[in-house]
Amino acid sequence: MKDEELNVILEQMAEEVPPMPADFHARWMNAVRAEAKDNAPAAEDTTQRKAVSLVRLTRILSVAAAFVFLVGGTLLWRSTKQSLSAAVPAEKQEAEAMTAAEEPAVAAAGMEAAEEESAALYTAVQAPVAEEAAEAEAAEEDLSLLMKAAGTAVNSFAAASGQAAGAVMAEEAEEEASEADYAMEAVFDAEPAAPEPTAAPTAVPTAAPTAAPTEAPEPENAGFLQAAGAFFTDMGDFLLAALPYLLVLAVPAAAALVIRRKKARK
Amino acid sequence: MDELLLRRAQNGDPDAFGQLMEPLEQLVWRVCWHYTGNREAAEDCGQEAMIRVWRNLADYRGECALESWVYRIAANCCMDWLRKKKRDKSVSMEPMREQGFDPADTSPGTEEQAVAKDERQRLREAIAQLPDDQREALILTQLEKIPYEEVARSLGISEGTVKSRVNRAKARLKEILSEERELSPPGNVKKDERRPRS
Repeated sequence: MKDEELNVILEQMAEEVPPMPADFHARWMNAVRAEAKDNAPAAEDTTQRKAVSLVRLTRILSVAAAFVFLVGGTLLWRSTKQSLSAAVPAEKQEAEAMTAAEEPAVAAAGMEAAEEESAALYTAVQAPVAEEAAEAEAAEEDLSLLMKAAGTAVNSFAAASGQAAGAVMAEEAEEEASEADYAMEAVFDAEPAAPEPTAAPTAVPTAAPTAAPTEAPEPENAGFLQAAGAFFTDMGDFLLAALPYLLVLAVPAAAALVIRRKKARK
Repeated sequence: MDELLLRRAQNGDPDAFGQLMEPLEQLVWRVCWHYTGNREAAEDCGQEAMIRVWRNLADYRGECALESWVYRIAANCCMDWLRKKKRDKSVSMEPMREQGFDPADTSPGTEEQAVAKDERQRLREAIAQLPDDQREALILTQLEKIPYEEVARSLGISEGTVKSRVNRAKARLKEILSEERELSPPGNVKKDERRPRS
């Protein structure tokens, strides 16, 4: 037999197909419906059981993941905080020690400078006053000498006048002296107050630098409740610190949940 | 193919399955007919094939066309039927002939047509004797006119392998028909000896 002959026969066979029986469709549809009815409860049970176990497993895993996150994160947070607080107090102590040592010296230098200034001012004020007083004395001496030399007759008049002049000059000298006194007092009043010794810290550096506040007491020494309280306090700190990151994760997760629910409703 | 309909059918909705398979039941019928050459057998195999499609629809992942997947199931049903027949009795086409092979052509026809009909019957019998893989490839490509590529994808083999099987099947058919011609040449069927139509 040749290929062409065979192909012809095959073509004829392909076209020669009897019509499908009239009840063909109805028969298989009835069979399918009957089987669907029989299998429905079993299929639902299996599906429900699978769904329940899956939900349960998801819940268990979620709780475990949350537990690991909280406890592990808190422990890491604690260890990080302890290492940081151990480094900070040492630096603080050094800085405070230096400050405490420097301040008394600074105060003393300030006081010296103030004293020098006041002394210079006093001298500057006193000098002309002293000069004037000296001049006034010298003038009185000269006058008395003149009076002696001039004689008595004239002395009375001259003395009177001389005395008057001397008195005037003395008065003037006294006035000048009093003015000088007033000036001195004014100078003293104007002197800047000596720098009071500032409220410098005591020579001894401040006690116990306020290092990391609320440092958790050593769990070794504290009781169980104290240790638990400290742990939960640290957990709170950790959650606060992690809050921004949690929010960043929560936004897309919430969006995905909303979209999923909308799809399920559709 | 409506994805939503498929999804509903996969979830166990028989009405959705009915809507999905209605266009394909003709294809199932044809495949079963070509495999069995017997109306009753084709109907039984067709029903079994539809039930199997319903049971296994959840496993369909879209790797190939749904038609190819359904063809595969129908072909497997028919091959199971053929194996069962071979087990039950030795291969004998007499009972099948008595049941009638091709009532399609009801006209009396000429002698040439009778000879041709006889040739077709012999060919069907020869096809039934082929190995399963060759038979499957031959029926799907030559009788159902499914492209080689699609057949390869549904069977999970290469296109070259499909062509190779078809060629070997044709060669085997030629041998069988040549032998039968030598034993009983065509044209020996007389009008009054035509097989009764069912």
